[in-house]
Amino acid sequence: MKDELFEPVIVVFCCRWAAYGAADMAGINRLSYPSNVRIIRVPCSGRVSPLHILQAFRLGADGVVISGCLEGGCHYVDGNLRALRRVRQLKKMLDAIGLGGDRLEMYFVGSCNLDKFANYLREFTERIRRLGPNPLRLREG
Amino acid sequence: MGESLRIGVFICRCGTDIAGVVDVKALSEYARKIPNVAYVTEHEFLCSREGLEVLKRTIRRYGINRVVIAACSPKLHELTFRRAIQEAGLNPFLLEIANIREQCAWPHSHEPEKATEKAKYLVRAAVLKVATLEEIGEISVPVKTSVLIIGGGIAGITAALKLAEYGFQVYLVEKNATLGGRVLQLGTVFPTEDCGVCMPPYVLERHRKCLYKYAQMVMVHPRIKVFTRSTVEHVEGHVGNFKVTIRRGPRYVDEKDCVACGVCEEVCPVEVPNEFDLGLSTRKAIYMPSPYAVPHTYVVDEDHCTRCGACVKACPFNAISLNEKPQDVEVEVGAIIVATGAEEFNPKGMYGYGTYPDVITQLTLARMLDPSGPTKGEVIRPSDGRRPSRIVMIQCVGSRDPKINPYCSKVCCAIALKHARSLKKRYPEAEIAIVYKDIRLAGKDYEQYYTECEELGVKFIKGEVLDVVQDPETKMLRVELESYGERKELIADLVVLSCGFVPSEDAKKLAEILGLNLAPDGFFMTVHPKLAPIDTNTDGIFICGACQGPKDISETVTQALAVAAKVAALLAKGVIKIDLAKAFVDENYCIGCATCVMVCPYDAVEITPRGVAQVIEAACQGCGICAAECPAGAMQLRNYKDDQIYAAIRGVLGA
Repeated sequence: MKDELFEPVIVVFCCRWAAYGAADMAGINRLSYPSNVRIIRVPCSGRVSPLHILQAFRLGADGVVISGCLEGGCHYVDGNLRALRRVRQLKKMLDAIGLGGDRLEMYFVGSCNLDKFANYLREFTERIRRLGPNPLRLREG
Repeated sequence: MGESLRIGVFICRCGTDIAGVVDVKALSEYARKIPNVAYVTEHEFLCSREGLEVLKRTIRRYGINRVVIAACSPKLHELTFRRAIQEAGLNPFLLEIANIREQCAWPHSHEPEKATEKAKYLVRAAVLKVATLEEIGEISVPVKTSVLIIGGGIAGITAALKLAEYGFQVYLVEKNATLGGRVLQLGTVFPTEDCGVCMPPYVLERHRKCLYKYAQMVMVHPRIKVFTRSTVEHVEGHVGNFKVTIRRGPRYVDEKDCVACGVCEEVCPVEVPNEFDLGLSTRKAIYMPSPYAVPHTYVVDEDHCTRCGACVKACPFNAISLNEKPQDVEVEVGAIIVATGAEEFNPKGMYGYGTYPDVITQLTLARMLDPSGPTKGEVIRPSDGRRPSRIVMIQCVGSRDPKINPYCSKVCCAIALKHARSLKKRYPEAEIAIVYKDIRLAGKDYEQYYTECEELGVKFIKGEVLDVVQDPETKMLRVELESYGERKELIADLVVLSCGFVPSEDAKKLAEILGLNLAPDGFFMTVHPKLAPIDTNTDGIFICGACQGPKDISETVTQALAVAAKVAALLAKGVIKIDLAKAFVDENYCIGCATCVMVCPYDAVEITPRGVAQVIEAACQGCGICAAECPAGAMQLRNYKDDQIYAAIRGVLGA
């Protein structure tokens, strides 16, 4: 990465229960995380299909995060685990097509885990910063 | 959809909470340029009455047909704004909220420009998504006028009687062989100091009623069906229409035929410690679970019974059958109440508990102080049966300890002082010391315990107990503690641990069956500790009493009555309205593969005889898992359809 100021754009799909709650709590507690993180609210992390993730990459996201309730604490029983399964499969696909599976991650958070939530986002942003911009974005200029 | 889009964007300044960081003017300017935006305005406090009036007036005046609110989290005011736009004549679902406070102004307050930039993207996403939204209607679903109550302690009994009184059918499930729960073991209870089974007057009844009578009332009430020794095994359905499978464990003794004569008990050859008295007495393998057991019927402890058959032969009424099997019973209810209570923390390994027999818990002491208990009200040292003369109580055992349970169990102080007072009154010569971190006796009727204990000569020592060890020669217990930086030692012949509350051991399994969340401490979680103290995340399922945290009897009863009122309000309506923000199938694409049926956590999808999927809207909870898994793209979730999510993605990426 020659451009040191590269600020990755990260799309975060948050389930409306714990993950969105953790994001709210982070805000309420003035806990800062990178401002290029942009949250899309979905009812459950299990609602996010691989197509949504691919669409985000296609439109230029440098990284995509799916965030749902803690394991065992999903508001919809096992939606978060289904999301995890999809993320794992899609990571392999992203590796295969050259985008890189590391650009995609699933995080489980409790609605009170605001610190954890903010930390995940900071770490993920750092990781994407190291990986550099989404190659699709570069190509399209 | 024929008319053209006219999107109104309403930006809330939230005093300075948003406007102090986000450049609201620049945001307005930006919003005006997004396609289909017909009107943009700012307001100081959109959620205020005046703000909502402005919202409604603007919608009407400018013919706005889609609304974007850029304000605080939708978790706060989504419903408020939905209602407002409905009052202005729009379908309540034609609304999107851009969370520019919790997600922009607050976390990025130190970099206002970036916060403003992000707010633009969030508003863009909301505008693009709202343009794709459709009207969503609602349906009416009939509600069953019956209720399931899990737990037959003071909470469950109170709620059951109240709901039966209101005229609803109640199914009361208790895992133990008797109703009454923890309260049965307590001896006297504060603040009224009546016997544990005797409770203060019941709402409208002037005379004293005891829990024993309550439980009897529950047993004979025509609208209450009691299942003892039973557990809830399976629950399906949704608010208004739950289908519940109750597993009725065998008692091996017929409730109707047993007259509690006790002949069976006399002939039973097996003798084991009695858990009701925490091992202070013994019982047989066929036994009466408590002197006040309701139903007043013997029961067989299958773990210890040798199947010798002596009781079967001896029973004069042929009430015993050792071949009884568990039985599954299915009931249909409109609502479910969880009232499974809590348990005393087990201090095994702490302060010599489990090693020295004369280190006991307050619950064991309560059994001793109970005039009808195993010692007939006499306090003894379990090691030698002698009366103790130097008693030390240790507070906060298993509570207020970050390594064990961080929370305060709230009632242990009152229990300790209640017991100290009783002991001092009964045995004035006994020395009693209470080692405490803080004495927490909140409430108007509780201070008297403290003043009276002081007058009676109970010693209060602020400090932390380091260890309890037995002197090998004198067999006395040495309580080593640190008080105000000084090491001290107390000599005791009985040590009583004031243990906190822990969640009932079945809480986890039950939470899974009901789809409820447990807090990190293991208690059932309420939606909101102040404003929704008995509600859960699942509509139609409520929680009351100590299953959601340590509580005393009066608080528990208050919650039980609250839950009864809440359930009554739900069931009395007869129908509930359910909005259709649920999954639906596009039959043109459905290939009938039944993936949706397999992945739905609520059994809310079925395959019709025509071979296509169909959503049972009342059961659907709107998670959208089916929509993500459908290989044909036939399954969609209203308000979160694929194209609607794509619109949001385009928005946040500025594409």
